[in-house]
Amino acid sequence: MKATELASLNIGEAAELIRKKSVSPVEITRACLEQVERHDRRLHGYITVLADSAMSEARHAEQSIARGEYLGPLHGIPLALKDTFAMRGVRVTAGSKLLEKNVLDYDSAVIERLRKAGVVFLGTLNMHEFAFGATTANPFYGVARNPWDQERIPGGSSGGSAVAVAASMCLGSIGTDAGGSVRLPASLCGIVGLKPTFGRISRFGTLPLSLTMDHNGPMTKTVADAAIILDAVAGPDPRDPGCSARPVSRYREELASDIKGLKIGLPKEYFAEAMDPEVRSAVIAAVQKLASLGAVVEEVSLPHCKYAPPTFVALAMSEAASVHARDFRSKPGEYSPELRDLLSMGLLIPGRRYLQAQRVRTMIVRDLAAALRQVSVIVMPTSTIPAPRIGERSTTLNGKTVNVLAALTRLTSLFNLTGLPTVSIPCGFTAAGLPIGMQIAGKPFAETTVLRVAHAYETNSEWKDRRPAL
Amino acid sequence: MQTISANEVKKMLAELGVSVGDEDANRLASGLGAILADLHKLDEVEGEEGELTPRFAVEDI
Repeated sequence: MKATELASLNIGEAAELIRKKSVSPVEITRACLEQVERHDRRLHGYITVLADSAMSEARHAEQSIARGEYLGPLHGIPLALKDTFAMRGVRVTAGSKLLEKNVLDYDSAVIERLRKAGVVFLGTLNMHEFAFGATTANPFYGVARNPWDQERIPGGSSGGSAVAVAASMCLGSIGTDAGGSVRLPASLCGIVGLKPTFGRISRFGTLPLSLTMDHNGPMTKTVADAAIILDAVAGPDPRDPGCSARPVSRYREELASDIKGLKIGLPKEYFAEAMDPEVRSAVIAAVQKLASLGAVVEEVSLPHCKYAPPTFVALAMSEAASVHARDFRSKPGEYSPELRDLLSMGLLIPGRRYLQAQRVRTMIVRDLAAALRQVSVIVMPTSTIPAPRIGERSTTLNGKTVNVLAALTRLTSLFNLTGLPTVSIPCGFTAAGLPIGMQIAGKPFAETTVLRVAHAYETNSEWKDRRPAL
Repeated sequence: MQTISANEVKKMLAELGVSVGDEDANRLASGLGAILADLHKLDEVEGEEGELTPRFAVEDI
């Protein structure tokens, strides 16, 4: 198998070859590093490449597996994580200048659990500065570029993760999602992004942005790969007070594709909104495909969800300003002008508005709860538009000029406010060849159901094997 | 759009220990005005808001 073919394997395929000893972790790791060498100077997916330690970890995995000490489907698999997870001895910048020399002496819960699973760490991935934005046009570590059209953004804030997975510069990643930062770049780059239920994956050692909306989540080429990573990292952790004590499922093992009789809800309010026509028709076609597989499609109503965007803005801006208050006051010059503006405005949002937003949030949660008593999952586009051009600030939808950032994040923040498990999967391409994603959201801790619907669609569609021509 | 002056922005930020120049204050006043105007939409549901819970997760849905 050629190096480019090895790098383009998904985790499930690579794991099977490694388990059978047909391919070594060393070969796959080297293949990914060659992809990084070949493409990352332009794509800017990585912040730090850990080539030497990755090769050493791969050799160690190879030797363990040769001795019969196979740990499971992530053993010897080269992953790279968003540059926001504490990793012992490695610089973790959160895409910022402020933390450009930030070397930590401990592992985050996510890294700790992946190490136990035998993962090879290729490096840390580019992101929007402090995860506070959706473009990954990072002023300090390079403007990340979408592998499907390098003049366009990959989305963010976990943009480097989406770039690296889509361009086969790693086999999978984990990002963070406070307003859509896993699902949005997954959608714009044609990969799978899973934001599990709030509290399902420990945030111990993850640099925070929004204490009540931060989630960690896998970003992969397939739904099964997301389940494999979730199996490794989900579960209780007393070091994160937001982490749930509920026992986990066996996500990969329980991944089925039978959705006969399963009820799918389409929120009428969201499909009535301004949306790119190609996005709308791709998602409608995907819903029809799910119906053809036996799902029952029903309309649901989320009457208070029109308040989700201002509710999200009040919470996200206030919480981010709170997280950064001390550093921002003492070292404002270490932040980009964009972040300085956002944090300044966040400091000036009245406390009354923050509390009001928390109360409106519970109304939105109630709407979702009512809808999810009627149906098992809710389906909608991930973004109302495909990837915009780098630097594009406004676009036209239904004849109206709309803000690009609002059009990108309008549909994702709803599931940060509610904490519901939501996966974004590819559901088509525009005529110009840009990926389109749809999100599938379910009841709290029903990751298994969400992944089942996603897997059923993926298995019966043609998108998962498409790769960008680099 | 709600209006807030650059001077007000400058003064409020100074009270919080953040100093900004005139040009920045003008830009921030415009951005913050737009955000605060958008937050007024939340007043539409004044009186029917949900309870304030310390649990932001959704375990009880």
